[in-house]
Amino acid sequence: MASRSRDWRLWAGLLVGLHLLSAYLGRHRLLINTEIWALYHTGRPLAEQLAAVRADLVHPPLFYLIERGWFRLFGASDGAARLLPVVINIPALILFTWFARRVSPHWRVASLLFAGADLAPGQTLTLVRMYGLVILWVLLALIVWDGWRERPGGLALVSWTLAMTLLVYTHSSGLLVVAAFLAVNWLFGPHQLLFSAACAASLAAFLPWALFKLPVYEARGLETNL
Amino acid sequence: MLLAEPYKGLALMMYEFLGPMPVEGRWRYVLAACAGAVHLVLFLFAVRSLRHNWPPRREAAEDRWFWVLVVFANVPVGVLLAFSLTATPALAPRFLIGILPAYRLLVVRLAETGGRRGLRWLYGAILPWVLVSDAAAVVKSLEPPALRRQIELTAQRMSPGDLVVCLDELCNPISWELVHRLRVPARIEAPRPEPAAGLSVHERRALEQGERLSVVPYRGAGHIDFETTGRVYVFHQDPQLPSNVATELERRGFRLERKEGGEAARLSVYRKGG
Repeated sequence: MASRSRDWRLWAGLLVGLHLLSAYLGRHRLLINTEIWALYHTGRPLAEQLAAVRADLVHPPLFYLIERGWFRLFGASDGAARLLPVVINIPALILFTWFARRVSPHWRVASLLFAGADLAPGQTLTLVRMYGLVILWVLLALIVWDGWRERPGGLALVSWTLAMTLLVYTHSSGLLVVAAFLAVNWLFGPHQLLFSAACAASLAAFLPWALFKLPVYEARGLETNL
Repeated sequence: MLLAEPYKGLALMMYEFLGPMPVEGRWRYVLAACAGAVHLVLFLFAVRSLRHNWPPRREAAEDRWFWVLVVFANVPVGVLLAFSLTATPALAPRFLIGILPAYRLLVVRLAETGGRRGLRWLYGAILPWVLVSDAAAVVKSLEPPALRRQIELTAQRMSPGDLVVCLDELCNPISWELVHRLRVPARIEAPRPEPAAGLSVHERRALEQGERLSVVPYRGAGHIDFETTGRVYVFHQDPQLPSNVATELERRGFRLERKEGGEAARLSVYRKGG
């Protein structure tokens, strides 16, 4: 058992090493328009940044505020910007490897597919955007949900709701993940009504931001942002 | 393309999820078809076993993750496809990024469910695909892109007071590279494109989107201050400069000194009076 536990840690360590190497080799990549747009606004006054984010209908503010804090800490340099997704992807990679071990006896190949396909230079998760953070929240939510399924308890459900709230504030596509969890728990989980209420709570938490954006949506429609 | 054509988008999404290759144009669609076939074969290997396990049972621990992953990975795809067909085209891999962990695990669980043949397919087709895609991405990233080299060269040649003009969505990378990476205090201007007559709705939206995302504010070519500069570096993608920019430069007494660069980024250098 101890050897199995050491196994996954070694494997996760190896994948993290490969991810760091890959990030280093991919350092020549030019940042894309949306990455630069977001990074530029971290240097503007907060109200101006929020106004810009508000004009973008798909992306809620959480990641932009994290970027703002990151630049305050490490300076508005190219290196600091590129480091942010690397730092987010490392715990995601470790959590994925740990979680894959619970799901499949072929967890090594599963995590290799994740590290190889999703964390290759230039792939979506390596951009200085919110996608890596989306994966991190989803993995945390899956792990917490699995724990809650085995031993339903208030703390686990609150933690799951918090992870989902952070997710929908990271990217609006998190709403689809909430729908997926709702369906999964309805079919395979306990306390369906209670869990549905937790889903509703995470959606309700998103409501203030949705209302804040509503005038922009009414004026412009969704199409210009997709 | 992905957003406007949901079914084609679905095929390309499978390809993007499996692992994109460094190919362009028609080859992308060929590989998207191959990626679809890879997924279909995997599913077919698992079908017999799935029929034995149908319907999924809540208490069956050994296959519970399988069905959880099936539902988790497919509900968002179904919802987004329905939304794309009935409301606004929105089917793009980035909107389904949240299913990636479940998708990766589902691929592996499908292979396991398919028995020896399924695992052979996993290790013989899917894993090599992903590794080739990864290796191709790494190799591609080893060389700095042409635009970066062009910007570095320009930064070395620039004198204080020179002006950089950027066109065709090049403003953000140029601004970032010069100001944040190379720390060159350059003055950068983005002349507002003159919309051609008869633009489609998509083209008009792309122009609006371009202006909203540009970190260099757009300004009419006639309002750019050319008086205080002796040399202008114009970065553009189209072979010819837009007529409003070329005319304005000539009107202010600038002459083309040289032209360089390839398709990704062209550089035209103008000099006053010369």
